[in-house]
Formats: sequence, C-alpha cells, structure tokens
Amino acid sequence: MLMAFMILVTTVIQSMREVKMKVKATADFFFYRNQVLELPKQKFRDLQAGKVVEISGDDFKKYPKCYVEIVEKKEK
Amino acid sequence: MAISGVVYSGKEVQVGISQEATFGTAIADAGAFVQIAEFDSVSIDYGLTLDLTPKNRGKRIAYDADVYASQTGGLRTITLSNVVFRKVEIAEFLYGVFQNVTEAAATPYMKTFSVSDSQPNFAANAGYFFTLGIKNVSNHDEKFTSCIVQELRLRADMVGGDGRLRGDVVIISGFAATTNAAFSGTWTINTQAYFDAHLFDTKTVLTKDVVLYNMEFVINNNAKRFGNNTSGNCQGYSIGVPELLLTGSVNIKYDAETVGFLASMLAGTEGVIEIGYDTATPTDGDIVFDFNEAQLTAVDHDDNREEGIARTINFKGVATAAATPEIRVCDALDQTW
Repeated sequence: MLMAFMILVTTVIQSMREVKMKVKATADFFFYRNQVLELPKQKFRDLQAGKVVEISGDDFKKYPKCYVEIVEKKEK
Repeated sequence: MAISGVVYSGKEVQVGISQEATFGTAIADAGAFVQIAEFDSVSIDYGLTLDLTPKNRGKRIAYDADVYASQTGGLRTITLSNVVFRKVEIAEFLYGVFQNVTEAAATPYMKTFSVSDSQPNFAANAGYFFTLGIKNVSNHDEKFTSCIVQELRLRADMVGGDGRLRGDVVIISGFAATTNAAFSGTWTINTQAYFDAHLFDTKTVLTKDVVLYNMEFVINNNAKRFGNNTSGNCQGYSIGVPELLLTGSVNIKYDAETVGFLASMLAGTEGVIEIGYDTATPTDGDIVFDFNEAQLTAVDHDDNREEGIARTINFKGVATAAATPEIRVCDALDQTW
C-alpha cells in the first residue's frame, strides 16, 4: 500500500516538472504557420531567423519534426 | 402543393475563406471568415463518382438500385471567376498556391512567395489550407474542408479595363463537401486598397523598359490529392509535381526598346521580367512580379491596336543557381507565416 502511494507521489511529482529545451528550427519549420504551432510570436520569429530559442517540452512534443536540434534540455 | 414565392439574388451568394489550424478539420459554422465580396461567379465541380451504366439485369435502361454515387476519393474544384483582389486576399491566395512564403518580421511585413524544392507535410498541419464557405440559403450553406489553391490567374488591363489586379482562383478540396452548413460567425469584407496597375513603377522585360498595355500571370502548382482516410477523404496534396508552373504574358508597345524580343525568343535568351511597385524600401501596398529569370516562349504580333503596334510576349519563369521567380506583397499585416 505504502509502495503504491510512493509510486503515485513520484509519478505526480515527475508530471509536474516542467521540461524546457533549447531548440533550432529545421527546414520543416518554415512550412508552418504560427496559427498551428501556437508559439509566442517572438519565439516563432527567432526560430525563423535561425536562432536558438527555449520552448516547453509540450511544444516540442506537438511538432518534433520542426525542431531538429535540441541544444539543451532541462527540467525545472 | 404550393411553390415558394421567395426569389434569391445572385448577390446573396457569399464566399468566404478561413485559415484552418488542423488539416481535415473545417472551421466551425460560427467561426470568422474573410469574405471575398468581388467576383463574377463561382462554379463547382463536386468530383462525384456517379455510375449510371446499365448492369446485366436484362433491361435496356439503368436500374435505380444499381446507381452508385459517392464523394469518396474525389476532388472538389471550386473556381472563383474575375475576383478583384485587395491586399490581404492576394496574399492568402498566393500562399495557397505557392505553399511557400517568407514573411518579414516587421512592418510592412513583406511576404515573398517563391517555389520551394520541397513541400509541406499537410498531414502534420504544415502548409496553408483553409475552409471555403459559400452562403446560399440558411441551413443550406456549402462548406469545403482543407482547401488549397491549385491555380491562380492574375491579370490587369490598363487600356481596355480598369487596371485593377483581378483574376481567377481555382481552389481544390480532397474532402467531402458539406451542403447543410449554416454560417453564423462574423464574415469580414476586406476594405483594403486595390492594386492599380496604372500606378506600377517597374515594367521591365529583359532589362528593357516597356510600355505595358495589359498583363497576365498564371501560377499553377499542379496539386493532386493523395491517400484516403477511413472516410475516403484525402491525406494530403502533392505540390509542384513535376513542377510548379509560372507563366505569363505582357502586351507591350512595339518600339526601339522592345524590337529585339523576337530575336531573344528565337535565340533562347533568358532574362529578368519585373513588373509591379518595387520601391527601394518595401512599402505597404507593394506588389512585384519578379521573374528574375524568364524564358520568352512566344512573341505574337498585335498590329491593329488603336495605340499603335504592340507585341504580346509570352514567357515562362525558370530558376537559376542563385534564384527562382518570386512574387512579393506588402500588406502591413503580421500573419506570423
């Protein structure tokens, strides 16, 4: 019982951790409108300009093909 | 049985488009649409598979139970004729046919449409696709899902016409048409400026300044639907296979500047054709047809104009190692494309 509770707590804590990653855009990115990607506008523009930007893990999961290079990944 | 005494005017037929975010998911009836208010007519090929051939029933006429009608696997083609374009609409349709754009990050948000060597993955929501709505009568509106533009014909006649940029838009949808929509959202009629070709400041063919009487540009991406989901709707479109065709023709004054075009055409000499507003600093309202390399394909006599002898120069855009033909539009609208 205690073990099950511990597993549950661990799972909840892990799911609450926010994953952030620094990424660069791939060629695929340039075929996307931000209406679809729903990134903050400046991040969208920065990615278009070839810059490395920080996005959430959820954003990455939505369209992973858009971001070829994960420069850095961190959990907060 | 009583007839209906109500009469509808053709001007009650309203057409609107709305960008979609998810391929295959149409904008809701209550959604906002950009209304295309200036066109002559809309014609629709519903792409219906209809089999009315007689079967081996011993009859010499088709039998009702054998009739087969299905929208699955079909392509809907909607043609808007003689649309008078305003700034924002033209960008939407150019994106719809090129499926490739670079938008500047600051005002006037110049959009450069050019031919890509690749194409968007529509199934992953890349590219530009939209819902096309046609308001007919309440609860009998038509809706076409995940449309793209297959062909865009742009023209302006500065002598016989009013000089405004107008043309035909051929729109396709690989999804079954909805015939019982009831649009209730906001349909916004664009009041942006027109493009008046009388005011174009750049009119050059093979580096020669020309006197332009009329012009036409045709962009055809040769799009085809592919695949079928479990509803018989498409899973994407092919774009530019085997090529995205950019062609055009200009009717110009025949004079000392333009006399050499026939020889250029016969010799296969390529060169720049650039027509539009091309101010040094991009400005809201600019539009430029920049065929930075074009091959003349025909030089036709037009000797009986009231303005004097003219020539119709036909051409096809080609790529060089450095560039491909492009069309640039500044509409001061940040689309985050």
